[in-house]
Amino acid sequence: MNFSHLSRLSAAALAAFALAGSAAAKSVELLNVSYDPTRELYVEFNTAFAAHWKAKTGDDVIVKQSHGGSGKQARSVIDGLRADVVTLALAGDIDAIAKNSGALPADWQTRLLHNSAPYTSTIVFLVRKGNPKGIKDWDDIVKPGVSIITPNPKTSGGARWNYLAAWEFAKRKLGSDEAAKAFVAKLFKNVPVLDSGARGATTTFVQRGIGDVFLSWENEAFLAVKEFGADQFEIVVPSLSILAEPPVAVVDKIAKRKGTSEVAKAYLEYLYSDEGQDIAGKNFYRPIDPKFAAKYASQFTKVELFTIDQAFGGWAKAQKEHFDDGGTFDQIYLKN
Amino acid sequence: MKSPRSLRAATTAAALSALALAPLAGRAQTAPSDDIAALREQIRQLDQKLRVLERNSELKDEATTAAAQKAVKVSADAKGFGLASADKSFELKFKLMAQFDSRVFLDHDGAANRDGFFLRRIRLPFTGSISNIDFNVTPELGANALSATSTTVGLIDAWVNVKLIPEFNIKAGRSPSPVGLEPGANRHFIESPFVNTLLPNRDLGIEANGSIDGGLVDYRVGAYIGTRNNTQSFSTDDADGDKTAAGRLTVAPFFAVKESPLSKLSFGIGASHGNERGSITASTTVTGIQNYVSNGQQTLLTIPSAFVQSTTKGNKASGTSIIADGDHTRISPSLEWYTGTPFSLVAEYAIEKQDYLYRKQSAGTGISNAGTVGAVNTRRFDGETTAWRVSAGYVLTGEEATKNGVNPLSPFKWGADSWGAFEVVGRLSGVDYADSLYDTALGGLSPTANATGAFAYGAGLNWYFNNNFRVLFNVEKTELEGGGAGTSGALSDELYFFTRLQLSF
Repeated sequence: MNFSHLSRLSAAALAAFALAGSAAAKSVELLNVSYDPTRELYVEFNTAFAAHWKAKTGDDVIVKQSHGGSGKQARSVIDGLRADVVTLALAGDIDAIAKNSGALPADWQTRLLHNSAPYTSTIVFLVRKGNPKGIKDWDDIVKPGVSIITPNPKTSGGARWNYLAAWEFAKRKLGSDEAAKAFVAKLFKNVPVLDSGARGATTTFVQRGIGDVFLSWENEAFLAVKEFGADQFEIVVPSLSILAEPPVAVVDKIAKRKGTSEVAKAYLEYLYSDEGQDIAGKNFYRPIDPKFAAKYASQFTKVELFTIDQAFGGWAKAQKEHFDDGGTFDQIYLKN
Repeated sequence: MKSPRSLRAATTAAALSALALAPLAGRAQTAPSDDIAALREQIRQLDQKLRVLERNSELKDEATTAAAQKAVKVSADAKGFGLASADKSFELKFKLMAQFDSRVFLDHDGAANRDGFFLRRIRLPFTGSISNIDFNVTPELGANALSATSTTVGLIDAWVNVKLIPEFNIKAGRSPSPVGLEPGANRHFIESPFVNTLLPNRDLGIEANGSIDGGLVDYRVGAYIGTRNNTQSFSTDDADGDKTAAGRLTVAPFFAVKESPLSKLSFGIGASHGNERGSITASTTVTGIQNYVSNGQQTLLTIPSAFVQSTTKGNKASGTSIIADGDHTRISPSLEWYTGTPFSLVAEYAIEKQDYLYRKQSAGTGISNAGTVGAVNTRRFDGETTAWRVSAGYVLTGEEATKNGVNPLSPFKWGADSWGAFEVVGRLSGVDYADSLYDTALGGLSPTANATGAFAYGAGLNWYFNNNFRVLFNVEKTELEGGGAGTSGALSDELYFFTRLQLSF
């Protein structure tokens, strides 16, 4: 073998090695900052997405999760938590991230279907087995002697949905915002413990055995019954509740800096896929895809739902009026 | 006060006991069933109240823990005052080093008016870190601020060190030069020895540094402005536009041998090489060479700088200058041994080789603007100056001697028979100036009117009150070789007694 032949072979080997190197699987890590009760959902979804992404691109994706009260989580991202995506309880919290950090555009909600909410939920009552306090609707829970568990609206997205659902019920029944405010004040008089997030409130009601009724995310109520047994708890669906639309978004600035924009976008888009919608339904979220909404319709009780836009003019207005410093919650709770 | 959980257990037990006894009581007196139901409801409510107490206590603890994790930590201890973020990614420390010196010269044939008190150093280090970047900004308010005679506030250190990996970091700014040992290596005695008069004190530049294998080898290597010996970097040092490469390698071959006195033995070698050039104009000469001083900080050898470049006929000005003009190389091997026992030993050697330019202008003849211009002689030469020192200490009170000093086991407390720690120290040192400086046949310095070298020996007692305050007493004699010192008259030797009070944290 002469030298020139050897050098050509060496060059070819080097080229093959370089190509093999570039074709080697990449490993990408995403951080999904989510609200409190979505742990089980994203354990299952992340596994599914990782398999899907591997099959599609050959790359590995590891999704790390952070859970907590939606407002607290939004604050953490504003303060520097490097979230590639946020999957929070309400649009107002993602609006706050966009406004205070500039990490994603103000029109983020238009980038995905259904106002960037791949699933919906609502607020129901979880009560002890046998419903000893005879709770049927919102006005039963404000009676004296009924102990209510709900998280803190200042930190929990679910708590804000609870608050607004109670407010709208009272306003429709009693005729005015003033009456609704008095109603919600009575409600919070019956609240002995304020957890920072929905999962903490579940712990308080289910594991610590505190309270007569838990104002719960629908999915959380189903999970509690599933985990602790139908012989321990019952779900009571009120006559009126709010359509909760937990939105999702890519945090553009962080994803771009980390080089994960493509994967992050695909991750959220996969929530709208057949597998994503099926997983949502299995975890007691209401899928938006009509096919899967029909598949899981029987597990959900029919309830009259109103939207935040219809009743309160949108999240920005509701947040300012009720939950910002000096809002109606502060007026009610500080007075209590 | 009992915890809510134990209160709940006790109350429930009492209530259950009451319920258990109720049937017994019923034999004597029948209790209405609605009373029992009321009792049960009361117990249920009580139980709920206790559970709520427990849960609120739990949530409060969680909130406190979460807040503590984010809280800024404030510290005040022997190492200074500090602030640090909860995750320690931001840290700031405020420190102080203040030295009050008393100098008494016991030799009587030296220059007058050398005795006195003065604030040798007043330094306020602001040190800290932001993420992986360390920084140090240290103003100097003492007599050492910019020069031995200036009282203007200066900046002794100002640097940032970007830590990438333990083996490789990048430092930029003004900091102790790597050629000599780190500051603190001279802690046995109040003033630095001859070796320091051949090496730069601080320099301004950029360097790579790191520690290999957990401390087996430490290195620093960088490019600097190129400072004159025994000084910080002044802007005039860079007037020549040339940079100096410098570095130090330190090896601690036995550092991994735990519990052995040899584990703290280190060998080092520092070196620098650059091009130093003074300058001569019609009005001023900048030699680029620092005058040499004794261990007592008195001028031993003044480099002449009286040359005035004149091209005017009949000008009577004349003078001689020696300026740095070319390669300047220094090498300094060292040994430091803080044995982990009361004994400590430090030894250093330095050799400096400098290219010089000698210029002499004679007075012109005739009247101004007429007659002749004074003749100018120039000569290029190089010279090697060497210096060395060995210093040792022994802590009489038995504590370990460390690089930073001695931490007394019994800090000084008046009236409590607690006196701190005492360390006796000794030092030998010497310097030999370049022979070529004294080549009178070629117009060099007079060896009978100038010192050509010196040998010094001294002893001292260091009294450590506590970790932060110490008093040092030194007596040292320097025997001069050659003719004497400076321009203030001939000295046969120097004998001093110095005292220092030092507060540092």
